[in-house]
Amino acid sequence: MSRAQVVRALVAALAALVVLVFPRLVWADELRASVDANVIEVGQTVSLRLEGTTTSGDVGSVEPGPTPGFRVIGRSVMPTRMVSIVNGVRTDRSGVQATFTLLAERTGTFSLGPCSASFGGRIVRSGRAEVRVVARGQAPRRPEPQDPFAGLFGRRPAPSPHSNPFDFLDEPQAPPEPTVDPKLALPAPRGTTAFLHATVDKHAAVVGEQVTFSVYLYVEGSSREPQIGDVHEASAPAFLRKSLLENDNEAKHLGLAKVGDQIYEVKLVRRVALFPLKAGALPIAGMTLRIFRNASQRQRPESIRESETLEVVVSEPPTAGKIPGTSLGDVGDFTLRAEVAPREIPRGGAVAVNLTVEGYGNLPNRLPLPTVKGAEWLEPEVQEKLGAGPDDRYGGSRTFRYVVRLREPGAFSLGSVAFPYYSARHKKYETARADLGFVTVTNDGKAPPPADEKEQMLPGLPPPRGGLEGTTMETAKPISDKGGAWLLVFASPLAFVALSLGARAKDRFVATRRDRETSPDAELARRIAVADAAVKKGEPLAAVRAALTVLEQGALVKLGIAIRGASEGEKRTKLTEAGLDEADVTAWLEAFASAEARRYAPEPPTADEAREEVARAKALVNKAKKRKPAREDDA
Amino acid sequence: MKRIPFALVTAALVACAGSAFAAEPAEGLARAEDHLKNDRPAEAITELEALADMGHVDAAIAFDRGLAYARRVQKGHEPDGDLGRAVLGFEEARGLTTSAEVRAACDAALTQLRSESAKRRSRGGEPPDVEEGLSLGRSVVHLLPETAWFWASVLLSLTFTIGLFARRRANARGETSQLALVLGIASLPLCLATTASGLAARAERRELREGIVLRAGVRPFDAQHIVKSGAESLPEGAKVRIVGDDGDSFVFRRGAIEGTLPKDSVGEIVRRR
Repeated sequence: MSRAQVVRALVAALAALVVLVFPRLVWADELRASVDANVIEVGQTVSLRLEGTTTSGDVGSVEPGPTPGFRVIGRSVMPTRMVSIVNGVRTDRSGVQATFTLLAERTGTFSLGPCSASFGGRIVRSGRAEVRVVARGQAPRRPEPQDPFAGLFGRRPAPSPHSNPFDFLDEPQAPPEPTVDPKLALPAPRGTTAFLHATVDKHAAVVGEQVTFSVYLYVEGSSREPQIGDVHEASAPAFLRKSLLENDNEAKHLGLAKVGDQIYEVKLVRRVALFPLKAGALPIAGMTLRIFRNASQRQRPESIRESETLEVVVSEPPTAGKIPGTSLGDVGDFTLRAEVAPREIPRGGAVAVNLTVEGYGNLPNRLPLPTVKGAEWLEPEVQEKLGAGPDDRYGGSRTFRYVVRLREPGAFSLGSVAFPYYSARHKKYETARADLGFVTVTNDGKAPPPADEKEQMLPGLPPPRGGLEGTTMETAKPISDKGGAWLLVFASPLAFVALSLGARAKDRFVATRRDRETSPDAELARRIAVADAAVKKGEPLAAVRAALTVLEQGALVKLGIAIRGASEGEKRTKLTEAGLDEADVTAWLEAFASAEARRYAPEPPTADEAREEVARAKALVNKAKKRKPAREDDA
Repeated sequence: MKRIPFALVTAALVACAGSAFAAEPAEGLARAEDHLKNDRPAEAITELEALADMGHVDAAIAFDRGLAYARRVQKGHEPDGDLGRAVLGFEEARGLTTSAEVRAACDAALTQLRSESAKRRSRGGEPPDVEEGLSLGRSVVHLLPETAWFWASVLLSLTFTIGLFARRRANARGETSQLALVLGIASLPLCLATTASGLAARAERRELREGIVLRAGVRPFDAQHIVKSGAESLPEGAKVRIVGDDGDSFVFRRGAIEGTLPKDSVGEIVRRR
């Protein structure tokens, strides 16, 4: 790199550094911010003024920047342009003067800004401005504007040590209080923090005349912006309702107002055109909403705010001067315009007739059409453009686009369309009229359409019935009319259920019976019966054998022990373990021993011995109390 | 003895009066049809309305009454409400008749009348929707007549029972019955659905009250008998559901619209209950 190149590079770097560090030297942009008061009270306003000039292009957006502790309630931005020619050199400078009105919401010292403005696409920022907000009544009094003529027409004020006799040449000082709109002032607030206030523009009207209903939200200037929810519209059932605001969901800031001694910010939340539908004292209920700062306050009853209930006395328009054909409710100021095209058509062709009603008030939904022989008016296409007009009057235009078919050749006058109405403004009946003019239907040489080609209303109606049908209300009832008939639907499944239950009951009965026959108790009873039968039949040996089996089965059933085939010692042990006392154990063992001895004796027992054995066995078994059943392995 | 001739005369008078009363609907209908054939719908309306006032209910009387009003509409310059009354007559006849042919004729006439009502509304810049569609449930119920739903439920119930028996028999043998499975799965839900539809059709026939709007441009009122704000006018000949009476008004519902209407603006459709 040569020396010259190095020098050029250093010069370029230095220029870039200058541009980066001191941009104002290059662009000559200035932006200054100032406030009209440094100490104010809560609820008062302060004006943040912004002045800027630039030579680098047009001024774009201007923003106040951060405004902690304040709410921006007004802004005024005015671009300026200055051209100066010095020594033949022309210099163009653009500028901006902006004023932001800020409402102090809480006490403290706050730094406003930096404000920003866009000059030729570049964002330029101002310095900050500090404002101290003190409690109500603690701010120093702001200087009153000097009146140079006060001494001429009244008591001259005492000279202040700081007063300057030439102060009147200076710019007037800022007003000490925020600008309030006296039209929005109220004698006393209707609620704490915020409240609703409703008005109507008139309390007496005629049926169909517009009554403008407005609802305002007043928010205490010293409080933070509250949240709003649960909005319920004002009910006005006896009115046709049309909104005059573009968006009912946004409250429109109107300004500040004095309510009692306090400053309130006023917002317009509803503006509605109401058209009375009938005569009488018609009520307009209050609009309600909830004012809250957090979700916990939302459900409290004290969060509800309601506007006033209003009443409008509505009467019918006067009968004097009423034009025939005027419908009740057709009130307003209207004009009627007609466009007919084309004016010449072939036979059977159609013309387009556009009828436009314009004006303010309750625009008609239909128009009386002229009757022209050979002309058929088809159904219209309706287009409308309605909304709020000047002075909050509801209106606009409604266009009826008709197609008229003409069948006969010749020159026809389509007549005129007249729409009579009552003008509440002029207190008289008027007529909106439009002449439709003439239309020529040329004969194209074709024969006129036959009568049967004309569209007939309700073609193809059926012939009469030709006699009673006999199906009266009573005789023609279907079978399903009786509630009992529907039981047929459930009959077969119910029959299945009944049969299933019967079969199951039968099975259970048989099983129970079989169990009962094979049980140990049944076996004991059977053996006792066998023993008794043997005694009766005079079979002593069989009776003694049966007595033995009775004892064995009785021990099993009653004592829960199996002693068949056991030795005497084992029998004694088992009987003792079964809980029998010594005497009973001995009695059982003696009965066993006696019966076995008689059974196996060489001489058969006698009948009396057999009866004695059977009786003893039965007595022992009957005497024994029933215990737990014997185990299977014991058995 | 004097009482016997007196009793005979009285009995004869009573018999004559009874036969005259019995013959009156047929004769009145014949006279009305004669008027209709000779293009005198106004006279036919007088005859048929007289029959209706005497309490005679018959599909033919309702049909001819609807036809008479429709003929007067056809002639033009009819009094207000003729279109709605014609619709009312055909709707009543459609509900009362047991003949599919008459029902089809009623449907065709109703289509024409409602088209005419729609055309008139369209000319006035109002929405031309005269007929409200049925809800999905009612559309399903109307697929079959009430009696058909009933017999279908009985048949499906029997089928389900056969399936149960087949399953029981298969279980007793220790087998699995495919027949039982198919019959049970298919017939039980169908049986429940047809039973529900049949009972809904029966409830509709017995409980549902419907009416026809008889006047053009009538608007619904609220409970305070004030015209509902922003409510559109009801089409002449439109069918509304009557949900109650409120003095001289019907409380009605039509789609999403609810309100009251004066009783002289709505004709209640007579049905077989």
